[in-house]
Amino acid sequence: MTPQLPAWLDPSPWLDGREPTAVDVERALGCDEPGPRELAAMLSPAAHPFMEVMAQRARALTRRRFGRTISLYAPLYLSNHCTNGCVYCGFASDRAQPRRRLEPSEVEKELAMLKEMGFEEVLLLTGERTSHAGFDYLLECVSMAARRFHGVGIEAFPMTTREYALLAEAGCSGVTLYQETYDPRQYDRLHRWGPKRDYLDRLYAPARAMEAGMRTVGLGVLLGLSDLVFDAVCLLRHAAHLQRIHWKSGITLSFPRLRPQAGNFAAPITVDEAWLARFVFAVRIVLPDVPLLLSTRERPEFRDGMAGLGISKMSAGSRTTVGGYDGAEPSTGGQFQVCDERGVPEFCAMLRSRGLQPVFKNWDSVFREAEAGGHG
Amino acid sequence: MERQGNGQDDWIVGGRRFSSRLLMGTGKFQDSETMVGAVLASGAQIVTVALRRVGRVSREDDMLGPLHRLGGITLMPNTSGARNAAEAVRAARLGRELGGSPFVKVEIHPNPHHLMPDPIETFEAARVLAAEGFVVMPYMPADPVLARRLEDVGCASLMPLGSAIGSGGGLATAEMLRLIIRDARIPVIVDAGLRSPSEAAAALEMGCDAVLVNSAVAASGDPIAMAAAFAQAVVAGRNAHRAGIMPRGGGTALATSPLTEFISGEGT
Amino acid sequence: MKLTVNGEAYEAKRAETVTSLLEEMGFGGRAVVVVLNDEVIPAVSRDACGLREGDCIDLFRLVGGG
Repeated sequence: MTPQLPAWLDPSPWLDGREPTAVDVERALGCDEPGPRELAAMLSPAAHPFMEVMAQRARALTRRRFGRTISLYAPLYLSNHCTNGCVYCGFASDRAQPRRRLEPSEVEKELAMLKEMGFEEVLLLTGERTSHAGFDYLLECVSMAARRFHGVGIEAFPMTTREYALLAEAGCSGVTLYQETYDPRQYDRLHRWGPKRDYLDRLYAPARAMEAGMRTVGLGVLLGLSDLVFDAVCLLRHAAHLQRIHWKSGITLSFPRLRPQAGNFAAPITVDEAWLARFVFAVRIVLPDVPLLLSTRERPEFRDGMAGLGISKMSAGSRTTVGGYDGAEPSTGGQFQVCDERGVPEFCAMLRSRGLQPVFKNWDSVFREAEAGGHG
Repeated sequence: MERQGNGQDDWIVGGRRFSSRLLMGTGKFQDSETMVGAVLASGAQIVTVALRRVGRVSREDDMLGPLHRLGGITLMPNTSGARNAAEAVRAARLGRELGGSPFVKVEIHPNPHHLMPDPIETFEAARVLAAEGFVVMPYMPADPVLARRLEDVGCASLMPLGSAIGSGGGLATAEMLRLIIRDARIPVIVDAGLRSPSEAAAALEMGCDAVLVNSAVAASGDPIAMAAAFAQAVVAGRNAHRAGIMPRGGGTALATSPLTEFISGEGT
Repeated sequence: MKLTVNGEAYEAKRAETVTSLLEEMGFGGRAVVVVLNDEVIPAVSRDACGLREGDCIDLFRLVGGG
């Protein structure tokens, strides 16, 4: 059964079917406190001529809030075991793909490599909860990472509040969980089997993570799966809802774009760079103080240009295979194709040449209570 | 003054529905007649009162007697005079006996000069009173974090100050008020600091649910006329907020694209 | 009977209950709240509420305020 959108999420009051005009876009850009309606206007075709204006606004707001800096992080895929049937994912359970997980000794090695590369923040990724890589495994990996890194995020499966609290206690500071698409019917079609079919369980998981005391929660939609404006307005509503209720936690937003070549799946909707860029600008204008992330899915020239233009946090030197930082030939394929293959020094040099400071660590957990074996 | 609106833009606090977005204080008036006249002209449905020990010998005027007889008005005792949470809690319990409503304006300002609210004592008093079932409306510094904390312990509304009490400084705290309004799930009422109707209108335009005035009316040249002027300003400000205020100018496209030329695609 | 009313010594002439004290002091018809030894006495209980030597009584009323 297709779930009903909860009232706090429902975007329909702002999507009245009337196509926004240039006048609506100008209004949105002049608005003191832009919200869902303004976001929808800035994402409409009528806003395309305003690209440059939006870019300038996005840069000014980003600079005002984040200064001339870009925060850096690295993803570490722990496991590609999965029981879900997400049609768009390279790790879906029906994909012919060697499956493995990193054993604790390998995790230690990979973490050491990332530390060597200069990273202070790591994002640990797994697939669905399985006997190979379940909660206890993830908890162990988080504890290992927390001994070395000041920021440890996870991007895994939805969990209970209790589980999130245990992770937070072990030193996990962030949970990333994309809804992929907020359109329940499209969600139902794209997630063919597995626990991930439960739309509402996933929808409420970020709130549970915040309730458990997680410092930040990362939200996002996979661009290309469904109607972009619908998903964008839902994403904004979701973020605003969480910010309002769980006011001690922070939000970050990511902009993963489904590339035509990812897996063998043809994206239902084509999202080109110009649209992606305008999405980032519009979100920055509507949410001036939220970190916006861009991964290595995008090509170098685009990433270089977007750094500081709304985007305030980026991954670099990433591997999307299980492991892969230790220099050995990766034993699995990647979840998605990395387009920006530059190493960390090269990427940092680029940022500096554009007047941006690469930042690896912008907060510390030294005040954490009763820290058992925390990093030091 | 019309007391009953058409119900389309009522606001609710403490389970009661109100159409007027102007709250009136009853202090500092020259006499009871002027005060009652001003309350009537303001259309206020929530009126604040204070609590004092009865003078055993002196027989002061009964300022409030006529108010009780008006009907349709919720009396909200304040806790003025309390210097800490324990005193405010005591004052609130007494006020409930006299005012006949569970509404209480928690105000604790230990410094007799600037009268700035004590955030820590205010929080503690609000916590205790909300748990006792009071409809707690705290007078508070315009602090967004304190606002969240007060909301979390069960306050029915927030009453941040626009500027120092009695200063007539208007909406000096506008930036903080915007943050409070953005995140609040309970009504936000600007209390203190307003001097003229235009400032009350500005508060409503900004998205405040209501304003509370006292000195600005009582100390004006003609309190009854000024109360009516505030009533009009509050309606105008609220209507402007609902109508959607025209954006600022400057959203025009530029011919050159120095920042965006690295981007490929059509964006459609 | 010696009482303390609003912080001052008061010699009650005849009053034996809160109600009769209020009448004796001239507050009979007025809206006041009575606090007897730090305990609020609801209006309905005043008739039945007896006074004892040494009791502290505080009387409050509403006045204009912001």
